[in-house]
Amino acid sequence: MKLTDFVVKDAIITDLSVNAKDEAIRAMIKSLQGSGKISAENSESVITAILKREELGSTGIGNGVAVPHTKHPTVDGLVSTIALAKGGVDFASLDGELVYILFLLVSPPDRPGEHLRALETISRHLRNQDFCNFLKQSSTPQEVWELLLEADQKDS
Amino acid sequence: MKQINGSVDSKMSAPAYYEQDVIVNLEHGLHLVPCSKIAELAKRYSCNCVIIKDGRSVDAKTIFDLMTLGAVKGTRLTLHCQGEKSDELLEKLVALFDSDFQA
Repeated sequence: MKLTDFVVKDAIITDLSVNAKDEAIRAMIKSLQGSGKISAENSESVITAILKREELGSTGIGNGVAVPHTKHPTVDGLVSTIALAKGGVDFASLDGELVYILFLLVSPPDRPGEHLRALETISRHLRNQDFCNFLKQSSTPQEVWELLLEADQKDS
Repeated sequence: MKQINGSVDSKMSAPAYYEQDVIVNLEHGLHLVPCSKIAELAKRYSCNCVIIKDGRSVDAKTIFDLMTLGAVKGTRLTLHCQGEKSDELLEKLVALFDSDFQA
Protein backbone atom coordinates (compact mmCIF):
# COMPACT_ATOMS: atom_id res chain seq x y z
CA MET A 1 0.00 0.00 0.00
CA LYS A 2 1.24 3.49 -0.83
CA LEU A 3 1.05 6.59 1.38
CA THR A 4 -0.12 8.66 -1.57
CA ASP A 5 -3.04 6.24 -2.05
CA PHE A 6 -4.74 7.48 1.09
CA VAL A 7 -3.13 10.76 2.23
CA VAL A 8 -5.18 13.72 1.03
CA LYS A 9 -2.70 16.21 -0.40
CA ASP A 10 -4.95 19.24 -0.01
CA ALA A 11 -5.48 18.51 3.68
CA ILE A 12 -1.80 18.41 4.71
CA ILE A 13 -0.96 20.96 7.42
CA THR A 14 2.66 22.06 7.83
CA ASP A 15 2.19 24.76 10.46
CA LEU A 16 -0.03 23.26 13.12
CA SER A 17 0.17 25.46 16.17
CA VAL A 18 -2.00 24.13 18.98
CA ASN A 19 -1.41 23.14 22.57
CA ALA A 20 -3.73 20.22 23.11
CA LYS A 21 -4.49 16.88 21.56
CA ASP A 22 -8.16 17.61 20.90
CA GLU A 23 -7.29 20.88 19.15
CA ALA A 24 -4.82 19.06 16.91
CA ILE A 25 -7.38 16.41 15.94
CA ARG A 26 -10.04 19.06 15.37
CA ALA A 27 -7.72 21.05 13.08
CA MET A 28 -6.88 17.96 11.04
CA ILE A 29 -10.51 16.94 10.57
CA LYS A 30 -11.42 20.50 9.61
CA SER A 31 -8.66 20.37 7.04
CA LEU A 32 -10.08 17.12 5.62
CA GLN A 33 -13.47 18.80 5.61
CA GLY A 34 -12.01 21.71 3.68
CA SER A 35 -10.70 19.31 1.06
CA GLY A 36 -14.17 17.77 0.73
CA LYS A 37 -13.23 14.33 2.11
CA ILE A 38 -15.36 14.63 5.23
CA SER A 39 -18.67 16.44 5.16
CA ALA A 40 -19.43 19.33 7.51
CA GLU A 41 -22.32 17.47 9.14
CA ASN A 42 -20.15 14.44 9.90
CA SER A 43 -16.99 16.12 11.08
CA GLU A 44 -18.04 16.44 14.75
CA SER A 45 -18.93 12.78 14.85
CA VAL A 46 -15.53 11.79 13.39
CA ILE A 47 -13.72 14.04 15.89
CA THR A 48 -15.64 12.43 18.76
CA ALA A 49 -14.80 8.93 17.50
CA ILE A 50 -11.08 9.73 17.27
CA LEU A 51 -11.03 11.25 20.76
CA LYS A 52 -12.86 8.21 22.09
CA ARG A 53 -10.21 6.00 20.53
CA GLU A 54 -7.54 8.07 22.29
CA GLU A 55 -9.18 7.22 25.60
CA LEU A 56 -8.26 3.56 25.03
CA GLY A 57 -4.63 4.60 25.02
CA SER A 58 -2.72 7.41 23.36
CA THR A 59 -1.77 6.94 19.74
CA GLY A 60 1.35 8.97 20.50
CA ILE A 61 3.55 5.95 19.94
CA GLY A 62 6.89 7.56 20.62
CA ASN A 63 9.61 9.13 18.52
CA GLY A 64 7.62 12.38 18.33
CA VAL A 65 4.91 10.73 16.29
CA ALA A 66 1.17 10.19 16.78
CA VAL A 67 -1.25 8.24 14.61
CA PRO A 68 -4.77 9.23 15.74
CA HIS A 69 -7.29 7.05 13.94
CA THR A 70 -10.79 5.66 13.88
CA LYS A 71 -13.17 3.67 11.77
CA HIS A 72 -16.19 5.66 10.70
CA PRO A 73 -19.17 4.69 8.56
CA THR A 74 -19.34 8.04 6.76
CA VAL A 75 -16.17 7.54 4.71
CA ASP A 76 -16.11 5.43 1.55
CA GLY A 77 -12.41 4.70 1.58
CA LEU A 78 -9.26 5.38 3.58
CA VAL A 79 -8.86 9.07 4.32
CA SER A 80 -5.70 10.41 5.88
CA THR A 81 -3.83 13.61 6.46
CA ILE A 82 -0.55 14.73 8.00
CA ALA A 83 0.07 17.64 10.34
CA LEU A 84 3.45 18.98 11.37
CA ALA A 85 3.64 20.84 14.67
CA LYS A 86 6.99 22.58 14.89
CA GLY A 87 6.44 23.50 18.53
CA GLY A 88 5.19 20.05 19.49
CA VAL A 89 1.83 18.95 20.89
CA ASP A 90 1.23 17.28 24.23
CA PHE A 91 -0.37 14.03 23.13
CA ALA A 92 0.04 12.10 26.39
CA SER A 93 2.46 9.96 24.42
CA LEU A 94 3.60 6.59 25.69
CA ASP A 95 7.17 7.88 26.04
CA GLY A 96 6.06 11.19 27.59
CA GLU A 97 7.56 13.23 24.75
CA LEU A 98 5.83 15.90 22.69
CA VAL A 99 4.54 15.02 19.24
CA TYR A 100 5.80 16.78 16.10
CA ILE A 101 4.35 14.58 13.36
CA LEU A 102 0.69 13.58 13.30
CA PHE A 103 -0.67 11.05 10.87
CA LEU A 104 -4.47 10.88 11.11
CA LEU A 105 -6.42 8.03 9.52
CA VAL A 106 -10.17 7.45 9.09
CA SER A 107 -11.30 4.14 7.56
CA PRO A 108 -14.62 2.53 6.67
CA PRO A 109 -15.59 0.00 9.38
CA ASP A 110 -16.15 -2.86 6.96
CA ARG A 111 -12.54 -3.00 5.79
CA PRO A 112 -10.36 -3.88 8.82
CA GLY A 113 -7.66 -5.36 6.59
CA GLU A 114 -7.14 -2.11 4.69
CA HIS A 115 -7.13 -0.11 7.91
CA LEU A 116 -4.41 -2.32 9.35
CA ARG A 117 -2.38 -2.21 6.16
CA ALA A 118 -2.55 1.58 6.11
CA LEU A 119 -1.36 1.75 9.74
CA GLU A 120 1.35 -0.77 8.89
CA THR A 121 2.49 1.40 5.96
CA ILE A 122 2.46 4.56 8.07
CA SER A 123 4.40 2.88 10.92
CA ARG A 124 6.95 1.39 8.56
CA HIS A 125 7.83 4.79 7.13
CA LEU A 126 7.71 6.63 10.43
CA ARG A 127 10.23 4.31 12.05
CA ASN A 128 12.68 5.51 9.42
CA GLN A 129 14.47 8.40 11.13
CA ASP A 130 15.46 10.01 7.81
CA PHE A 131 11.85 10.10 6.69
CA CYS A 132 10.82 11.75 9.97
CA ASN A 133 13.63 14.29 9.79
CA PHE A 134 12.80 15.29 6.22
CA LEU A 135 9.12 15.46 7.13
CA LYS A 136 9.82 17.80 10.05
CA GLN A 137 11.86 20.05 7.76
CA SER A 138 9.08 20.36 5.19
CA SER A 139 7.46 23.78 5.14
CA THR A 140 4.75 23.36 2.50
CA PRO A 141 2.19 20.67 1.70
CA GLN A 142 3.86 20.28 -1.68
CA GLU A 143 7.19 19.43 -0.04
CA VAL A 144 5.47 16.86 2.15
CA TRP A 145 3.74 15.39 -0.87
CA GLU A 146 7.02 15.06 -2.77
CA LEU A 147 8.52 13.29 0.22
CA LEU A 148 5.59 10.86 0.28
CA LEU A 149 5.97 10.19 -3.43
CA GLU A 150 9.66 9.50 -2.94
CA ALA A 151 8.99 7.18 0.01
CA ASP A 152 6.38 5.29 -2.01
CA GLN A 153 8.77 4.95 -4.90
CA LYS A 154 11.56 3.53 -2.71
CA ASP A 155 9.03 1.14 -1.25
CA SER A 156 7.87 -0.38 -4.49
CA MET B 1 5.33 -24.35 25.46
CA LYS B 2 8.26 -25.49 23.45
CA GLN B 3 11.67 -25.18 25.03
CA ILE B 4 14.58 -25.35 22.67
CA ASN B 5 18.18 -25.40 23.70
CA GLY B 6 20.64 -23.62 21.52
CA SER B 7 23.90 -25.17 20.42
CA VAL B 8 25.74 -26.75 23.28
CA ASP B 9 29.48 -26.70 23.56
CA SER B 10 31.41 -29.03 25.76
CA LYS B 11 31.62 -26.73 28.80
CA MET B 12 28.47 -24.67 28.88
CA SER B 13 25.15 -24.67 27.18
CA ALA B 14 23.84 -21.62 25.38
CA PRO B 15 20.87 -19.99 27.07
CA ALA B 16 17.64 -21.71 26.29
CA TYR B 17 15.03 -19.94 24.30
CA TYR B 18 11.35 -20.46 24.34
CA GLU B 19 9.00 -20.10 21.45
CA GLN B 20 5.41 -20.75 20.58
CA ASP B 21 3.10 -20.07 17.68
CA VAL B 22 -0.09 -18.11 18.18
CA ILE B 23 -2.93 -17.17 15.86
CA VAL B 24 -4.27 -13.61 15.82
CA ASN B 25 -7.92 -14.00 16.68
CA LEU B 26 -8.87 -10.31 16.81
CA GLU B 27 -11.54 -9.10 14.42
CA HIS B 28 -9.49 -6.04 13.53
CA GLY B 29 -6.13 -7.76 13.60
CA LEU B 30 -3.14 -6.77 15.66
CA HIS B 31 -3.92 -3.05 15.74
CA LEU B 32 -2.37 -0.41 17.92
CA VAL B 33 -4.04 -1.32 21.22
CA PRO B 34 -2.87 -4.96 21.27
CA CYS B 35 0.55 -3.88 19.96
CA SER B 36 0.82 -1.45 22.89
CA LYS B 37 -0.10 -4.21 25.34
CA ILE B 38 2.54 -6.54 23.92
CA ALA B 39 5.26 -3.88 24.05
CA GLU B 40 4.25 -2.80 27.54
CA LEU B 41 4.50 -6.38 28.82
CA ALA B 42 7.72 -7.24 26.98
CA LYS B 43 9.44 -4.08 28.23
CA ARG B 44 9.02 -5.28 31.81
CA TYR B 45 11.48 -8.10 31.06
CA SER B 46 15.17 -7.89 30.36
CA CYS B 47 15.16 -10.87 27.99
CA ASN B 48 15.02 -10.51 24.22
CA CYS B 49 11.68 -11.03 22.61
CA VAL B 50 10.86 -11.04 18.93
CA ILE B 51 7.70 -11.83 17.01
CA ILE B 52 8.12 -13.58 13.70
CA LYS B 53 5.74 -13.47 10.75
CA ASP B 54 6.60 -15.18 7.48
CA GLY B 55 10.27 -15.36 8.40
CA ARG B 56 10.53 -11.66 9.31
CA SER B 57 11.11 -10.85 12.96
CA VAL B 58 10.37 -7.65 14.82
CA ASP B 59 11.24 -6.43 18.30
CA ALA B 60 8.28 -7.07 20.60
CA LYS B 61 9.32 -4.17 22.83
CA THR B 62 8.81 -1.56 20.09
CA ILE B 63 5.28 -0.60 19.11
CA PHE B 64 6.53 0.78 15.80
CA ASP B 65 8.02 -2.57 14.90
CA LEU B 66 4.95 -4.50 16.00
CA MET B 67 2.70 -2.29 13.88
CA THR B 68 4.74 -3.17 10.82
CA LEU B 69 3.66 -6.81 11.15
CA GLY B 70 0.27 -5.85 9.72
CA ALA B 71 -1.11 -9.04 11.27
CA VAL B 72 -4.76 -9.43 10.28
CA LYS B 73 -7.16 -11.92 11.86
CA GLY B 74 -6.00 -15.47 11.28
CA THR B 75 -2.29 -14.62 10.95
CA ARG B 76 0.11 -17.11 12.50
CA LEU B 77 2.90 -15.51 14.52
CA THR B 78 5.84 -17.07 16.32
CA LEU B 79 6.71 -15.62 19.71
CA HIS B 80 10.38 -16.09 20.53
CA CYS B 81 11.90 -15.15 23.87
CA GLN B 82 15.47 -15.62 24.96
CA GLY B 83 17.23 -14.74 28.18
CA GLU B 84 16.27 -14.14 31.76
CA LYS B 85 12.72 -15.21 32.65
CA SER B 86 11.97 -15.76 28.97
CA ASP B 87 9.71 -18.69 29.86
CA GLU B 88 7.63 -16.44 32.09
CA LEU B 89 7.34 -13.71 29.45
CA LEU B 90 6.34 -16.20 26.78
CA GLU B 91 3.67 -17.63 29.04
CA LYS B 92 2.22 -14.17 29.67
CA LEU B 93 2.31 -13.24 25.99
CA VAL B 94 0.52 -16.44 25.03
CA ALA B 95 -2.09 -15.69 27.72
CA LEU B 96 -2.61 -12.24 26.15
CA PHE B 97 -3.28 -13.78 22.75
CA ASP B 98 -5.46 -16.52 24.27
CA SER B 99 -7.63 -13.94 26.02
CA ASP B 100 -7.90 -11.87 22.84
CA PHE B 101 -6.07 -9.14 24.72
CA GLN B 102 -8.80 -8.75 27.30
CA ALA B 103 -6.56 -9.94 30.15
